[in-house]
Amino acid sequence: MKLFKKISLVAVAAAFVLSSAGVGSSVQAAGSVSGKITINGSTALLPLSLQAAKEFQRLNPKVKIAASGKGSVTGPQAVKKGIAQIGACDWDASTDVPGFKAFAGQVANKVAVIPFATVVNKSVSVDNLTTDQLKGIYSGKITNWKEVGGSDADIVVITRAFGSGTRVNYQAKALGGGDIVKKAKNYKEVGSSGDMKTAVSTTPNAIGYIDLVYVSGGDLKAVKHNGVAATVDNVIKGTYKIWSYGYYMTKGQPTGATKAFIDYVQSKKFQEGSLKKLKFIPISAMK
Amino acid sequence: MKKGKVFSMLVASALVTSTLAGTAGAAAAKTASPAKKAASKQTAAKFKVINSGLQVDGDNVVLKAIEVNGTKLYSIRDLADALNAGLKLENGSVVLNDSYGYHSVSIKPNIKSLQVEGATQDFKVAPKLQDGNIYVELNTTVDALGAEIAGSGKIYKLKRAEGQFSTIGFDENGSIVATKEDGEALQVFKLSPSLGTPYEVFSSNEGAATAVISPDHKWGAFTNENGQLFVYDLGTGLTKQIGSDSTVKTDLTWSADGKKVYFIQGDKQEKISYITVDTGVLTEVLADKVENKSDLQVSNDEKKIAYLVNTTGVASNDADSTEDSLTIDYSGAGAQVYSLDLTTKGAKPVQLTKTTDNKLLPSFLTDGSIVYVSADPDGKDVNSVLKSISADGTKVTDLVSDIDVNLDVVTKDGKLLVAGLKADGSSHLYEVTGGTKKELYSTPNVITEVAISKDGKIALISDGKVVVVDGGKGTELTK
Repeated sequence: MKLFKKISLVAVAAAFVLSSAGVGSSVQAAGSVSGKITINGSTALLPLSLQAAKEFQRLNPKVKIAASGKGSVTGPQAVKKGIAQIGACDWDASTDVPGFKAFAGQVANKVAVIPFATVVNKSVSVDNLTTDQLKGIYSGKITNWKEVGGSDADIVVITRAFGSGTRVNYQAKALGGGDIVKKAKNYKEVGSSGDMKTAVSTTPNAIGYIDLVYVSGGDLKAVKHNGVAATVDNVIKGTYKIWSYGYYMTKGQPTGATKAFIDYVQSKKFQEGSLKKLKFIPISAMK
Repeated sequence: MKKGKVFSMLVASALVTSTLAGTAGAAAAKTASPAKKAASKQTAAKFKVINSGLQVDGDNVVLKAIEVNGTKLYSIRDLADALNAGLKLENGSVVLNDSYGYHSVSIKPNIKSLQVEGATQDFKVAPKLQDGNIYVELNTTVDALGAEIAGSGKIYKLKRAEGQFSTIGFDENGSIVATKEDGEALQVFKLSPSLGTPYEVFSSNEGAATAVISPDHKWGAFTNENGQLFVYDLGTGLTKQIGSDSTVKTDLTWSADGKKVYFIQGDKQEKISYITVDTGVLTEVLADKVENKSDLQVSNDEKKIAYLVNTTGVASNDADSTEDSLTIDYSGAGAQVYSLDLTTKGAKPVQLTKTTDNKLLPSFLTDGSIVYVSADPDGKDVNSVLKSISADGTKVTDLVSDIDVNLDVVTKDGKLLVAGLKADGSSHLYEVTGGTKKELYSTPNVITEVAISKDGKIALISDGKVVVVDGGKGTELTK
C-alpha cells in the first residue's frame, strides 16, 4: 500500500488560491443547454465522444448527441456537407496533409492526444523497427521478417483504408512520409481500429498499426520505434514520435450546444478524468 | 462582572491613556491645555450606537455599531464574541486571535493601519474608540481573522473552500468528500458537514477524484490511466491495487455487500465484468459483443444488472472515401435500457426500451423495477420525466412528470430521491414514495448531484457548490 500525496490544508491558511487557468475550464451551467449535436469521423475518437456525450447529457438532459465512426476524413467531409456538426479527425483538417487538402472554413478544436503503435502478431520475434525498416516493409521492398532480424517468414502487411487518420499519421510519423504500396499478396486493408486489432491478432506474421489504447489483450504486441517503446510516458517526454492530436472539426468557431459540448470535452474534469481512463492523453500534457 | 465589561473598562483606561500619550500628548508642547482639548475632541466625535444584525455560520447575531462618514464600524468586542475570537490588550493595542490559533490581528484606535501576522494592512476608516469600546470596519477585520464575509451580512468563521465541485459522497464518519475540478489539478476535499471546521485537501490523486464510494462509505474505487483498479481508504487515504487487469474499465459500481466492483469493460465498452475486492479475481458477466454500454447498475440482491446501450449512427461511403458518397443515418442512434438476469446461466440481455428519447441515470428500486430520466431533445419546453419500468419489463409508467426531472438517486435502503426544475427555474429535491412527493430542499440553482450519508444525511452539488441539507435548510459549505 502506498500513501496518497496528502496535503493538509485548513481554510485559515488564507493564501491558498487556485487559478482556474486551463483549457475550457469554464463549462456552461448545467441544464442550460439543449439542441442536437451530431459527430462523425475518427473511429479512434469514437469511444471518447460517446463517453463525453454521456457525461454531458447528465448535466444537460435535453441535448441529443448522436455519434458515428467511419474514418477521420469523413469527419470534416460530414461537416462540409452539413450532415454533422462535429467532424472527429486525427489530424488538423484545416491544413493540407499528405493525401488530403485542407477543408476551408473549418476550425480544428484539439480534444485529445492519440498515441499510435506499430503492432505485430505475437508470432513475430522482432521487438524494434526503425523508420527505414518500416518504410521498406510498407513500400513492399522488405517482405520477409528475416530481413529485419526476425524469423524466415513472409511479412503480412495490414493497413488502414485510405481516409483513416491513423494511416495519415502513421505515414507521416512512423514512415517519415513514405508510401503504403498495395500488394497482390500478404496485404490487407481494414476499416477501423477494432478491425486492425482483430486482423493483426489473428494473422500469423502480420504487422499493422493502431491507437495505443487498443494494444491490450489479443494476440498482438507493440514494437519499439527507433528503439523507443510506445508508451504514454515516452509520448509526453517527447521521445516517442508516433502520435497526433485528435480534433473536433467545426464549420467556423463552434457555437451553442456544440460549443458547450466541446468546452466540456476540453474541461479539466473530462481531460484529467474519463479521457485518461479511456487511455487517451490530455492535451495539457503536451508542452 | 462579565469578561466583556472588564475588557471594556480596561480599554477605556489603557487606550485613552495610550491615545493621549501618543497623539494628543504630542501636541502638548504647542498648546496650553492639551488634555482638555483631547477630552473635548472625544466628546465631539461621539457617534450614535445602533444594533446591527449579522448572520454568523447561519446563526443570527446582533452587534453594536456606529456609522462614521457613511461607513459602519462594529464593536470589536461584539465581533470577537460572534467569531469566538480572543481579545486582549497588549502594548497599547487590542489584539484579536482567532479561535483556531492561526491568526493574530493588532489594532489601535484612531490608527488606520493594522498588523496581521506582523504585516501591515490598512483600514479605510480608522477604528474609533467610544465609551470604552473600539469600533472597527467589518470586512477588513473579519478577513484579517481568516473568516469570510459572504455578502448580505453573512459571515463564516472560517473561510470556505472555493471552486467548482463534483463527485460528492460521504465517508463513514459523516464527512463529505467532493472533487474540486477547477484548480491546477483535480483534488479531493474533505469537508465537515458543520460550518466552522477546517476543510482538508484529502487527495491529489486524479483517480481518487473520480472514485465511486462503497456502500459502507469506507472505500473509493477508481481506475488509473492504465486501466488498473484501485481502492482507497476514505479515512486514511491509503490506496491499494486490486488485481492486475489493465483493460479499459468505465462505469464502476459496487455490489451492495461491498465485496465486488462491477464495471463496463473493453476498448469499446463491449463487456460487463466484476473484480472481487478481496482476491482481485476478474469475472466476466457478459460478453455479447454489443458495444458502447454504459450506466451500469447492480440490484441490491445482486440478481440483476441494468445498463444502457448507446447505439451509434451509421456512416457509409465508397471504397475511396469520397465526399459525395458519404451518408450518415442517425435515425437509430440513441440509448436503450437493458437488463440481465444474473441468476440464470446463459441468460440473454433483455432490451427494455425502444423509444428515441434521451435515457439517463437508470437505477434499481427495491421491487426490481428500474427508474430512469427520460428527456425529449425535441421538446425544449417539455418536462423531462422520471419513468419506471416494471421488473418484468412489460410496463413503463411516468413516475414524476410535473417537474423537469434531471436527477434520480436510490439510497442504500431503497429511498428514491428525485431532483428537477419547476417552471420558475428553481430546483427542488424530493423523496418519492409511490405517487407521493415530499420536498426535502429547494434552491434557485440547479442540483446536479446528491449523496446520502450512512445515517441518512443529505449533501448535494448545486451550481458547483457543496451544500448540506438539514431539515429543509441548505448550508453552502463551499463558495
